[in-house]
Amino acid sequence: MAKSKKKQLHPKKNELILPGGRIIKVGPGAAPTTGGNASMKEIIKMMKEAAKRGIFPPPPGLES
Amino acid sequence: MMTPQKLFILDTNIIQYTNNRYSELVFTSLLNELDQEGYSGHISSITIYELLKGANKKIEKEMLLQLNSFKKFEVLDNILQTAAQLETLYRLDGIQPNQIEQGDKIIAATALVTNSHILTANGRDFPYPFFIEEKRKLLEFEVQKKRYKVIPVSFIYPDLEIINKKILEIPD
Repeated sequence: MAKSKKKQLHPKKNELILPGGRIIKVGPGAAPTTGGNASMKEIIKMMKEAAKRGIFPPPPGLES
Repeated sequence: MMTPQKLFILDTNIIQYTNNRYSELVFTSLLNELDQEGYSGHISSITIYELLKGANKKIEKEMLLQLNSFKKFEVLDNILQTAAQLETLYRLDGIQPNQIEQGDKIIAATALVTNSHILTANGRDFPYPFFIEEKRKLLEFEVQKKRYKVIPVSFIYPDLEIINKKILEIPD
């Protein structure tokens, strides 16, 4: 019976089937955002400064 | 009518390359390009876990200050459920669970649920046919005098239609 139930799912173009057969609409509203309001330009500027101080762990292959 | 915002998620390795003294220049110019194309960058909360683990107090504070300036997608139930389902799909496609880290599956699921692109320095963590590489750039930078490194960076999006089709094929 479960098999035939699953076959009946018809997600639309912007929908995703979740485990258990629930269908959700995908998009920015599907997950809440928290955090800053900085623009990309401000973030890039901040990251350039941080790179000089080396605060983040090095990326793969660039470990000293 | 408002134009829908174009979103992308920065994979954890992109934050690391952008904050590294050797690679910072080429990576920040790539982020500038995406900004000019109208893309807004987000991170997943899992990136905070991946970067903070093992940090000392002083570094921790500086990292948080910077990471908190990003808009962050929270890791909610629907994202964790999607990540678990992706692992099932990968396994059915012959990809072993330990080939891709949990953090990458959560970032992949976040992109899928929020309809975002992913910018990554490791495209293999977001496998075809579930994810499609829209563009790839080879970023080259000098690490020591006359020693260069080339990093392929991929701009990837989830193929919702294929993923839904594969979900319907999961055996009972």
